[in-house]
Amino acid sequence: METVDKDKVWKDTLEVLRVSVSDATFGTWLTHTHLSDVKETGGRVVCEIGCNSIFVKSQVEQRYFGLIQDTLTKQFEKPTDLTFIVKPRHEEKQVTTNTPSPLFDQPKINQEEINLATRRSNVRPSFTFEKFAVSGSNQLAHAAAEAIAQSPGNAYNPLFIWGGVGVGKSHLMHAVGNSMISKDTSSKIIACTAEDFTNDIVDGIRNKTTAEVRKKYRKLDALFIDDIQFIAGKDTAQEEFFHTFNAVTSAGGQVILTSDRPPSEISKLEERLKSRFEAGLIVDIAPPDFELRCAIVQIKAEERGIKIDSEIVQLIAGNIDSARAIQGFIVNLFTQVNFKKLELTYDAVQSILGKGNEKNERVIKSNPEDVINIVSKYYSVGKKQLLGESRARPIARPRQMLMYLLKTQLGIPYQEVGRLIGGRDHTTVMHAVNKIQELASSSVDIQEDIRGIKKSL
Amino acid sequence: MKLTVLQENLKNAVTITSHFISPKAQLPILGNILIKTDKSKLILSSTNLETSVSTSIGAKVEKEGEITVPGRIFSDVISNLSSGTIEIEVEKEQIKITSGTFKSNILGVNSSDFPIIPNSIGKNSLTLPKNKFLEGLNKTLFAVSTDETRPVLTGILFVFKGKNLHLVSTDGFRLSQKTIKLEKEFEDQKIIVPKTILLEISKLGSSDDISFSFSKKDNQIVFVSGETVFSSRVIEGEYPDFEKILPKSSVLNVLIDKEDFEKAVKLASVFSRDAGNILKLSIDKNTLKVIAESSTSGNQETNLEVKVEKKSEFDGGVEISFNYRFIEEVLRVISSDDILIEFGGPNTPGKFIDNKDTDFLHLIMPIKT
Repeated sequence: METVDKDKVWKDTLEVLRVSVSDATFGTWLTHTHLSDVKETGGRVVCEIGCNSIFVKSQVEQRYFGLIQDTLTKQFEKPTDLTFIVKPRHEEKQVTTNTPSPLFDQPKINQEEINLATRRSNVRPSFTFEKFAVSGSNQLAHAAAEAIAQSPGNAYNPLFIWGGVGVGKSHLMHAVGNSMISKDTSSKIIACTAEDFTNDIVDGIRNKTTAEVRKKYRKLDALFIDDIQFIAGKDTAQEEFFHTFNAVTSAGGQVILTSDRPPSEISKLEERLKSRFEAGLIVDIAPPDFELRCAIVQIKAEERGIKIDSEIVQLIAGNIDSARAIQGFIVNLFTQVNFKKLELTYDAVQSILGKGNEKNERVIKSNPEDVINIVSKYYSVGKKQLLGESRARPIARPRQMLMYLLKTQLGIPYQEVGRLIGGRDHTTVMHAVNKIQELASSSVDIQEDIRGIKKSL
Repeated sequence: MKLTVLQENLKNAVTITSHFISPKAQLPILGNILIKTDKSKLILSSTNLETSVSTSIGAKVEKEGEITVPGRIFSDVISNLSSGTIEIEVEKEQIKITSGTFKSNILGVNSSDFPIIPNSIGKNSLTLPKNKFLEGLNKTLFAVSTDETRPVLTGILFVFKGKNLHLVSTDGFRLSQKTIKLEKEFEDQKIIVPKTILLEISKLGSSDDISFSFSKKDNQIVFVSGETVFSSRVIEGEYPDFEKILPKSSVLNVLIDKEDFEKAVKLASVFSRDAGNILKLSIDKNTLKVIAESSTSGNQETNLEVKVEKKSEFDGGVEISFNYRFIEEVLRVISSDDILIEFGGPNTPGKFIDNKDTDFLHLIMPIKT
């Protein structure tokens, strides 16, 4: 059956019905009905008649069922069945005006103010606490940041967050900023990188506007500086930063800094700065563990509006290490889903992952021999011992680490790895790989070790 | 149909049902009240196709039957009779009423055209604590909008959440919220109930509990109190996200003696009536000034001693203007001697809190000046 113009059919039906009933009845009951659905099954037409209240429904159903059925049967030239439901007409719903009244208009203005404030302060609005997944590796840092957001300037001042790339240092820092702005849009906050700060100082010196630069930075409620390690070795910038730091903190402002290493390891950093950083809270964020990566996959996928099964989430999280790479992968997936109309199956995702991995592996294509040497050097364990028989932990753990690296980094099959490590069985290798993977998600030491060795690879 | 009832009982029942008839309806029968016997009871029902009521009273029934009578005439006759017994006898479509020396014949209409009206509570009913519910209605009904262009605001939003029922009303300029603790959990849901039915329920004086049920399929809610069953359609549509606008923090809290404040507002209204109902509150250290100015009739100012609590990061006073009617109305429902007002600034809603009733909350949007 071709699609029916329901309104037209119903209008014609009502015209016919109008002749058979009194004006009052028509006006009271039948004008409050509409044809909400028409279906055809097995040569019969099923019409669903929407009534705008239960009273209309019961009355029309009881009294005018036959009349309506006859009329519709004639119109469709087919036997017709009727069902009745309570359902207001679609158009009637849309009549409601949507101009917000003053009370509900308020938050909108706030949202604009918030947007303005975040733009002014250079805080990234997408970095919020809501979008930050928390697990063992970043729990402490997250708790510290939340405490600061509760009472800026009081809880921990300064907060020094350090960790590798893409672990969420900047995210936490900006989340504090967002939280402060949402509470008070007039908060004076600056979020910048150490590079920006240095450039501002340099510009100030060049244009003889140092005073203005000082004014910009020193009267703040909060100062957030990313990658503070870049300030090391730049004497004027360090001095300027030292005074800014003092000015902000003594006025009760909050300072948050991020870096890729703890202050004690930043070389060429002035002693007085180092000691000031150490006076606050220093927290580190380890690379995300498996569960956290799962959560990140879910958050990122939600942002892009794609639904991913938990099986696939685990597949992705299990194969990609860093949060940024996960984001990149999700973007890739999103594109494939949207433009290639790819279906999100386990196999499809696996094949995309495979493609990505090949590239990665070529980058760290080193010789198994080199890896053995590096591990032996890293743990100060003799090569002979490493490949030997001893099962004491100080020897066995590095050996397991070696097997793990050979398998995951070089992609050597289990059997081959076993052969390389003094002719061991492939099940031994599997156990070792699992063991390290397990430890890597719980022990910071192992994470450190993996990172350290990977760096030297 | 033949029966005897007491005038006092019948009068009450007729008064309630007469509120639900629609005399101007196209269909004349909607202006009628359905009277119907049921064993030893007389049931009266009426509807305007949006809401309906059905109530029963005790009667001595000699012959069963049912008929509809013109509502206005019936209620005028019954309420003007002196108390005592009334005999009602129906023959064909004539209703014969006899009471003492009074006799009347009213022309009725056959009941077959009368719509079907719910006469019992639906499935999944819930008992509402009567006094708290009526108090909640009293504290929210006044802020319901009368603007028919925004239908969702012409009802009270019932938010069932766990063991709590939040009643919320707003007209876009102010918002009232009262939370009622329920004895048992009810399915979490939001329903917008039209103001008209709630106004009728709020007039109920009896001591019976109120039961409540909602049928999503029929888009209908039913309230039962004692022998009376109310039903109404619910308002379709999306209620504005009120939770978002509840202020989370304030910069200045003021504790005011309610009686003094009420008097001051009353005085200020003399002048603000001519000035767009604007009343200005000016708060500084320990005084609250209630100021009203009119360019045609003059001005006034009342100084009130109040307790002001400032938040640390805030200094200076606040000047804020409100529609005096809104303040008057909220003061009427606040029962404690002191009222706490929290201000977030001259352009954010003022939060009015009843010190004795922490489940009540009222917001008023200031007027921008």
